[in-house]
Amino acid sequence: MPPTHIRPINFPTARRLRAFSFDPSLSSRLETRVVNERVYPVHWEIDLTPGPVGNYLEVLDFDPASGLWYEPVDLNDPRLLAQDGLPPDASNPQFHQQMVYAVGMTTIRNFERALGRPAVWRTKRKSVAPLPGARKEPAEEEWIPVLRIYPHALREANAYYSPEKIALLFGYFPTGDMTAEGQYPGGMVFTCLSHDVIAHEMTHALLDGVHPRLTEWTQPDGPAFHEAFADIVALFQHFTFREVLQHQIARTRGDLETENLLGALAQEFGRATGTHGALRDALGSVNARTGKWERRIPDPARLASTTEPHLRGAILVAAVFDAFLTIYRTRIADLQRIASGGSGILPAGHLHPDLVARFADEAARSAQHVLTMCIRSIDYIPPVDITFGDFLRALITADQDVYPTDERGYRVAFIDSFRSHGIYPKGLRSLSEQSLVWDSVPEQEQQQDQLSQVIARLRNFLSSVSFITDRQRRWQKAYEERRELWTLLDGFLRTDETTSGGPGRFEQLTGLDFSYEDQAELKYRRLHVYTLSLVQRMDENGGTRNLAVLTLLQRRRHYAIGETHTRQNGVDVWGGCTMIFDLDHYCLRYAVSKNLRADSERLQQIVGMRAAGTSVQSSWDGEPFAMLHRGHGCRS
Amino acid sequence: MPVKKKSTPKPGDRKRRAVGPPADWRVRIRMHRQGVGDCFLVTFKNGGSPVHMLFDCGVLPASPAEFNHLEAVTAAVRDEVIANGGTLDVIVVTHEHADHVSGFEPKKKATQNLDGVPVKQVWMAWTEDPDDKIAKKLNGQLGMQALAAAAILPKLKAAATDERPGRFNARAGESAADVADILSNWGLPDGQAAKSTGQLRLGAAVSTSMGLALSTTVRAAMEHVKSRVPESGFLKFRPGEPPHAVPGIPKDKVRVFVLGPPRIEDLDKSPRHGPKDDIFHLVDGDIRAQAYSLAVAAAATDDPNSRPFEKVTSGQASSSLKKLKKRYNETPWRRIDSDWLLAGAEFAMQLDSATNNTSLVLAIELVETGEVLLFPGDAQIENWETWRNVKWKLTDAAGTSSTVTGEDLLRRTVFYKVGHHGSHNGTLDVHGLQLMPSSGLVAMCPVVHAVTSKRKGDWKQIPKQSLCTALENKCGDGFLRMDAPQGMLGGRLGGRVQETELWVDYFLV
Repeated sequence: MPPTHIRPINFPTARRLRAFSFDPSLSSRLETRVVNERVYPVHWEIDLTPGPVGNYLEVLDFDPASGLWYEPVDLNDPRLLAQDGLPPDASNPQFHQQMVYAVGMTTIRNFERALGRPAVWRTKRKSVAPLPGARKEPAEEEWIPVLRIYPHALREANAYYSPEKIALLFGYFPTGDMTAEGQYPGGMVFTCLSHDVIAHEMTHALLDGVHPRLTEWTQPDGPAFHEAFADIVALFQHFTFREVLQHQIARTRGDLETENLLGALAQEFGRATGTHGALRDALGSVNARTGKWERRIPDPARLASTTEPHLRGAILVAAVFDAFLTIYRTRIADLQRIASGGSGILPAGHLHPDLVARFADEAARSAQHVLTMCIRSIDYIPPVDITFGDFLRALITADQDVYPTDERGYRVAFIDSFRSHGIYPKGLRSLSEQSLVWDSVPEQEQQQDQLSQVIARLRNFLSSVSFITDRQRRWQKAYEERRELWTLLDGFLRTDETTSGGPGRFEQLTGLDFSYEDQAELKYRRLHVYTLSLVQRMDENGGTRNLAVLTLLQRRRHYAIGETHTRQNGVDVWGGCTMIFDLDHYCLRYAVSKNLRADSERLQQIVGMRAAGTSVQSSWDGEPFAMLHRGHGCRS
Repeated sequence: MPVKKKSTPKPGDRKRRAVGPPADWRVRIRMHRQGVGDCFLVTFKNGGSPVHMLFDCGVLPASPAEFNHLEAVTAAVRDEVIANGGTLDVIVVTHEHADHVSGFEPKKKATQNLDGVPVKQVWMAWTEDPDDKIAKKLNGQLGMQALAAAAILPKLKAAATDERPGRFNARAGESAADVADILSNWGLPDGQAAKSTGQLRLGAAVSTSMGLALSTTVRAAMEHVKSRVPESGFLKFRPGEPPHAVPGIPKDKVRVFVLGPPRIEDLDKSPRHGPKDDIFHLVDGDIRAQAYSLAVAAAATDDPNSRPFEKVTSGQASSSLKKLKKRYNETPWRRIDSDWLLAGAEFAMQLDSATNNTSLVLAIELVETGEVLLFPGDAQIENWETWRNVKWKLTDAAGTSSTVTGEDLLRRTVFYKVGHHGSHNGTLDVHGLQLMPSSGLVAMCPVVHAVTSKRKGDWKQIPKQSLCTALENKCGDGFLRMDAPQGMLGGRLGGRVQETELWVDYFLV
């Protein structure tokens, strides 16, 4: 018998799935129809089952208002594999399932690429009653492998991420007979068919997975940040779609700033995410005189007078957007000169298709970089009560860690744009890159015995999980490590008073407070070792960097003067610290803290705002995102 | 501060007024103490032939008896008017909420007290104009929102008590109470709300046309007020129209400027709102169709038009779907059976704030001194925001013309009826309260904290502490709260503030 030649077949790298690049309303317009459908190359999951149900997402299509279940799509059906999935079709629920899966996975991929680790969701926490006389142990956590997606959960113009159910709920609603542009009278609008809405909600879930307590805030940037960040990711993910950009750039002759199509794009975005025009207004508007879209001139005073979360968040989005435009302009300057004989002024008429393609490349690349920079920075933000200034500092620090030389001036573009929108971190003397970078932990602190013990543990932890790729096993290891760290740190903090009774060094470093007046209060004010992630990054020279990000949290009950110390009185204030360890150099690089000590500026401010009745304090409330999206979550 | 114990007032108590009015009084503003709700009697001395304007008359539904003195108050209004002049010259109804109109509900004892008093004119906002297209659409939308909320209510209540794992929803209970409160203030008390879902079939027929008028207790009260005057005496006001005269007072003495509610076409021009308005949600997609589709689902009425997909055939579930259903049932904490109901609560909220925003806002100018008395009803900040764009070009008898703006009127305000019982969004700060003068301002706030603090939702925050502080700072002893212990009000204002258990008087001298 002659030998048979066998060559193993590799798994595909991507599953190709068709979906809208915007939402169905654009398919009915001639000018945008051609770019409204695209193929999303989605990470190939080997064990994907009908739903789709994969390792990250599970789509369950139950429509409780109609009392119906819809049959799940089987993306492994050869008929679908051969034609890039179902064709985009608003009237087919199975296509809806395909689209939420495709866009959801694309967003996850962007996070994993930027964060250098597999994405995880929030865990389910169960607090454990302590044995009599024993200390209260940390909450038990249950690993939740998949985010659940309900594409038809609601009958309203709303979609939200539910941290309680670890699920995305999308709504649908009839347009009625008064139609918005591009919508069919009497037709249905499905929020799960809008790329921007899906990416926005996915981002809430992904950010919540990294920082489960960002929903604690004491100032107006708090609620605005989650929304703004979700908008930023959705917007720039959109701008990484080359084919869309190519079409836009051909029409705008490369100038994304003054021509009206990008404006139109942003408008669609604002409409789709239901931010009531806030975002659209922040980016720009149509000039009534010329009829052309114009970018809004940044006004540094606007932020101070804006308190409504969506409007405030829109300013942050606009700041990032402006930085993107600067970056894009810089990147195409040489192309413009090449194409114009050195003058930089392009001739009238259509651009050469090759030039359009190159511009689009640069725009897509700029968008991808901005997206990555923004996502990467979330490892460097404080775990609670974030301000826009903190975000800027985190962004600059994170970028500097990976690219010490800022050859293309990205960081300058960000700093400049944030300044022109009035976003400054508090208490800085200058807005230079070096003062914006989080303070590194001084050498002598590194020698601290307590810190060395922590670093040693983390090193061991790194080597024990280095070769584990399974998300659940990695998480399980990290969870066990967090419990060990809790025992260690809790011990430090409790014995960490200086002889004079003032804050110990570890307390100073982390901003946590274990000084106490009464035992009952101290029991309440216990330590939470909230998250621990290992990050592996390539630096600009091609080397690998190993970091560990550890967040510690603590809650204290704050009472106004004269209030008795009972459970009914007072408010909870959360504080904590994000610690970034460099495991290659055995050191703690940054400790980004929200101080909880009674004598800290932060707490003084909270006290002052409460006394004046102007506090915007929030604490965990069942569905924070549903309320924000329905529009009356945090009226103050 | 010592607190005097308050006894339940009896109708006879109202005679216990300590002293007579100051000799040089010009206008008296009387805030009645019926409970949470508005009932203000404004009396112009008018050279000895007094003229009376009644602003609203109502009390919050389901107020406990000790905080509901509506009958005694309408009797007091009657006695006062009959004794001085004999005619109620104007009844102003600001908006369609029970806490402002329940004293006009037909056949009620409180209403009958006033039925014998002759009325010259009734003033309402353009939203009550049957020939106004926008008003018609708005009212149709409000009706549909109410219907959706009413249809959802029993389901919300059921969800609140369903204790099977994963179904129990603590928020559902809170929401149900909130929705019930809003609906009853809108004129659909619990029993009636359930009945009105019977109108869904009717709703189907009209969902594609203009809208739906539900029969409510509040609607009946509104119609009753209108019936008190001949058609010529029923005036519908629009912001910016030439100032009105009060019947019986020459126009060069007192004139009335209309600041709100804004017209939708004016909104489109104001930069803040852009093409969408968050006052009435009228152009915010088709809320009516959305509310209808929700109501149909809640009432389990089969209307194929409201289904999301047209070609869904029912058949055997595939084995894959069975697996997914199992997954759904195995993780009860992730179920979504009742989450969609909260959309009904959202419609209730929109109904509530849109109704507040239909408030007729009047600025009464005493022409000789330029002083202004501001009665904003329950206008919320969205309504307030539009006032500064309202302008009047006026020509006086001598032929000289001048321009008056909404902002001017605020700057000249000497009396402010605190909007929406002192809620967090019933008084605009920067372009509202801050414009009013810091000396001589008197503000009356019709609120009883003992009632509001026991409610759910937004009512709980009424009156807003930071607003009270701001008003105390601004008005000093001139901040007059309905629920202040009797005898505590006035202070340095001396005889210009007088009170009984049934009312607080402020005399403008």
